[in-house]
Parts: sequence; C-alpha cells; structure tokens
Amino acid sequence: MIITLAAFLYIWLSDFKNTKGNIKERAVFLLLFTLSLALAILISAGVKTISPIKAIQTLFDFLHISY
Amino acid sequence: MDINRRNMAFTVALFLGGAMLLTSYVTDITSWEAWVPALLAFFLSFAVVSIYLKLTKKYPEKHLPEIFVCVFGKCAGYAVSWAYVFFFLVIACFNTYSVSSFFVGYVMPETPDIVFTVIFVFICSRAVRLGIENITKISIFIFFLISLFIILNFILLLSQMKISNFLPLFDHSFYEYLQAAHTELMNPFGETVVFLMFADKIKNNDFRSALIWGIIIGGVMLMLVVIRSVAVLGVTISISAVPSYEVLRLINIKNMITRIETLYSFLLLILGFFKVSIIYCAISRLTAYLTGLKTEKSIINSVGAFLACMTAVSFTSGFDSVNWGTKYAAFFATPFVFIIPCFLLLVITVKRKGEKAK
Repeated sequence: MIITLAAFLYIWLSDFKNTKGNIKERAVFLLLFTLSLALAILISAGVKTISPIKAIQTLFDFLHISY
Repeated sequence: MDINRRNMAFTVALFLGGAMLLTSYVTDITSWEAWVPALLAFFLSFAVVSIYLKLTKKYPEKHLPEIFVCVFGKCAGYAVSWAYVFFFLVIACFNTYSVSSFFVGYVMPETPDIVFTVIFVFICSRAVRLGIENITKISIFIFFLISLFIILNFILLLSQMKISNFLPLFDHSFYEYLQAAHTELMNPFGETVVFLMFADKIKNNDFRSALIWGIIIGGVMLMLVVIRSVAVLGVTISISAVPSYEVLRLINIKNMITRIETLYSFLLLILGFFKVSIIYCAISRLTAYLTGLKTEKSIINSVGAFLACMTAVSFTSGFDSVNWGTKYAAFFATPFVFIIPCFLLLVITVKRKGEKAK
C-alpha cells in the first residue's frame, strides 16, 4: 500500500505541473488519476475480481462467441 | 510531418515482431503446421491493411478519431473512438501481461508479476513521454540487432532442423486452420490498426509504403521464427509455452556456446517494450483528443497507472492469458480491426457518391 501511494505521489508531482493551470487539463488529469488510484488501492487491498477482460469472456460465453 | 517513412516501416516490423512471444497461440492449435495459418494470415493481412490505406487516402493526414468525427459526426464519432480506447487498453494489457508472465516464468521466477508489470509500464511511459517520433528513431538499430540474432541462431540450429518435422502436411481440420489463421490475423497483423493513430504525423504516400513494407518485413521475420521452431521441434512444438524461446535451449556448440536463450529473452523484452509503447502512445493520444487536451503530456503517467492496474486484474495466470489469446481475442478484435473500418469505408464511399450525384 505504501509503495502504491508513493507511486501515485510521483505521478502527481510529475504530471500536475504539466496541466499548466488549465481547468480542462486539470479536470481530465484528476479524473484519470482518481480512477487509477481507486483501482490501485482496490488491488492492494486484495480485490482482483474487477477485470474487464473477464467480463468480455463471460459475455462471449453467454453469446457462444468463442473457439 | 515528424516521422519518416523508413523509421515508420521498421517500427511496424518490430511491432509485428512483438508477437514472437505469442506464437504458441497458433502452435497450440495447428502444432507442426503452424506455418500454414501464419502464411495465410500474412497474405490476408494485406487485404485488411488495404482498408486502412484507403481510409488514409480518402482522409489524408488525419488520424483515426478525426476520420470518425468527419464521417459519423461528433457524437457517434466520439462514441466509436472511446470504444477504440477500450480496445487499445485491452491489447496493451494482454501484451504487457504476456511480457511479464514470460519473464516471471522463465527468467525471474521468484519475482511477483505485479513488480515486473509496474516497472515495465514505467519504462514504457518514459518512452511515450519522449513521443512516437523518438520511439521510431531507434527502430532501425533494434531491427538490425534482432535480425542479426535471428539469422545467427537460425544458422546455429541448422544441424537440428529436419524436413520430416513438417510432415504430414494438411493433417488438421479446416476449422483448426481457420481458428489459427483468424487468431494470427487479428493478433498481431490486425493490431496494426494502432498505426492509424499516427497517420497525421507522416506524409500520406509515405504512410502507405511504410505500412506495407513494415508488414512485409515483420511478416517475413515472424514466418522465419515459426518455420525455425517447427523445423527443430516438430510435433513437440505444441507442448512448448514459448516455442521461439525454447528452441534456443537446444543450441549447444561443443559445450561452449550454450544458454543463448537468455540473450533472446532480452530481445523479446525489447520487442514487447516497442509494441506496448506504441499502443500506450496511441491510448494517450486518443484519450487526449477525446477529452479536448492540446497534448497528452499531463495524462501519460495516469494512463500508465491505469494500464498497470488493469493488467494486474486482467489475468490470474499464464493459462488464463493463453485461454484468452486462443479462444476469445480474435473475436474481440474483429470488429475493431475489420468490421468498423470496413463500415467506415462503406459510409465514406456512399457519402462521396451522394455528393457527386448532387
């Protein structure tokens, strides 16, 4: 968890300055940052059942679309 | 125009070479006849790429989402482009996981795969930060390094190659050839749709020839690797997880030149890095365009973090990723690689004819 937070602190420090005070850039950055951070915290906490690829596989199985 | 034709062609070739790690998806299905669907996919790829080239001819120097917006309008164009963000994310996850599971499985067995994934994506993010132009600049050097290595180990393995390993010919069912060719066509050949994201960075005529030459060079390189693996391993190729790697374990010249596969693992890492960096670059560019940003600089690391997280939750084991690669990936990729570009081309043609009739 500490490593995860340190990695995201690095992302914040290196990328936030690139938004250059632009509101739109900051909003997009914050959205992506929050999304990634939430996902990373969930993974660090041991949650590994939120895979979009698994969801596609389930959907394809349901539709009988697979080899 | 930032990218020259030669750099682009070798980048496409290396992008295809990134699939050397994934040849087992074809060898699992057609075993010693893996070269048949590989060859079929290679020829069919020209038909798929011709669609992309027609698109770029009709909308010169525009990248993929710009073409979508021009043809479908802003609302539908953005919706389709977001679907492509998802597609690129999935193929980036799949390739990142393939590289990390290979390294964890063969080179560093004690390391947890999440560590390798995070470091790998971090290195890719450094490259993406420098831009696609700089990534393509190193392509020629890397291509010659890899070609030299492939030719060298081809020569070292000549004594172990047997023509009988290719026999019997055409022993599999039509369905198996179809499955293998479809899988190979969608991954890696179809994944070249990613390069439409950079079509505005290169002159239109240059883009056309770069893509075609890249596919020829990369396709020949892949074919050589598949043929070499079949010639040496024969039927046993179907039980190898990474045939192109395991075949090199057999090289032993007077007990002096051995364990050459360790070198090859680093070349596979470079190829994986190339492929993931290009897809990562496309994701960042596409996301920046769709969210109205001037540059993608401020979101590169966040996209990387998201990619690493998605990779970590996508597959639970190597078997899981092989299952995805052989059974589902081709079907998942088909709409993005073939159906949507075909439909797009059809709409453009009908629209242009309608305008001419008026």
